[in-house]
Amino acid sequence: MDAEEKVARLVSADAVLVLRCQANDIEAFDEIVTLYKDGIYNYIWRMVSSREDAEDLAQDVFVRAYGAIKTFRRESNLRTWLYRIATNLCVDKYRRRGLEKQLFVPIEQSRKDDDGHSQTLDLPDVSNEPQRIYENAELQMEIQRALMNMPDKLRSALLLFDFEGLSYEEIAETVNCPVGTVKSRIFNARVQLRDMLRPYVDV
Amino acid sequence: MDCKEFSQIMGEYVNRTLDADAAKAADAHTDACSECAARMRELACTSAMIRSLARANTPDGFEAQVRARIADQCAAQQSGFWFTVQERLQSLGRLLWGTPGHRLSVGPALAALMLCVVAAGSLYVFAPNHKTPAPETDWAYINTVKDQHASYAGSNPLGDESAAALRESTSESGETM
Ligand SMILES: [Zn+2]
Repeated sequence: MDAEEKVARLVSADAVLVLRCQANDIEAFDEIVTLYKDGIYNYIWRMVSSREDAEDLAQDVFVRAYGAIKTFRRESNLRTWLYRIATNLCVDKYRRRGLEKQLFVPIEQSRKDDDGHSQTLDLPDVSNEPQRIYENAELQMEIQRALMNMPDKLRSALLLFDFEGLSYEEIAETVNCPVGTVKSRIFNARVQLRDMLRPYVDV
Repeated sequence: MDCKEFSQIMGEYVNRTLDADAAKAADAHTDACSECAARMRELACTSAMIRSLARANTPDGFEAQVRARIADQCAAQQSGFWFTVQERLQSLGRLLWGTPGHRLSVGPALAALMLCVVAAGSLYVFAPNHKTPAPETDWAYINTVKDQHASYAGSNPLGDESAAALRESTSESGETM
């Protein structure tokens, strides 16, 4: 395949970034990290329910991606490839600590920075009434707990669809299963979430 | 559409991935059937919940940390390589001069082999630039890819804006890539 033919297949900036990485352009890899770090970090945070672990695991995703980028096939999708690495790392992590898994895993509400100030989590600003904000933070904790109590296959499908906005096809590529399976996993996750969060489900 | 048919498409209805016609039929059913409408709203609520979950900014210095870890890994791989070479030579040495009971059985053949290995090894070790060279950046190739991508995607065949962004970033950095 000559260079022109190769280029004719390029349709996105992602493909260019991958090609540049494969030609050892380190700046292209930095661009990939900048583009995808927020999505990967937040997805992992919600998968493992810990921001500290999420930071470490998200770094791990990119370190592994760097190591494997030479083997990346051009017809693959960079985004789903990164989410795939992330999903596998989360599931591994979860398995390793499986024995000490608590029934209810509390989500961190806030973290203190070096000066002892709480960092806000950018909760959606429902109103300025403290009561409402408290309720909202509490609900967020309950949602996260419910997520942690469902099988990781259901959790990842639901998060990839609702939280990260991936399509069925992208999720199928990410978790390596048929599109039909993705749909039923999302559905089953919704049913479980609804049952666990009955008091909060307003109809 | 009856309740059974509705339940088969309810998942996609909640996900908002039905095509227009199917969505219309589903709308009509939920307008007429309060039971299905209630089930649908319950499930739709889970979508609203997940979408409402807070997102956090990636911690400061994230990119720098990733770079540092990549550098560490490369360094570890290099020292790992030298450790392996050293270990191999040591075990060969043990085989030749080590435990007395084995010395005779090893015999001259292995000694000759050892000589070859040592000779080859020292050639490698003492040759200039014996360390794994840093991969060379293929700038010519990168420039071609970038230019051709810019002109190809510039015609915007798939509504892809990346070419414009690429041109901008290249001209900003002032490099002739
Ligand atoms: Zn019905």
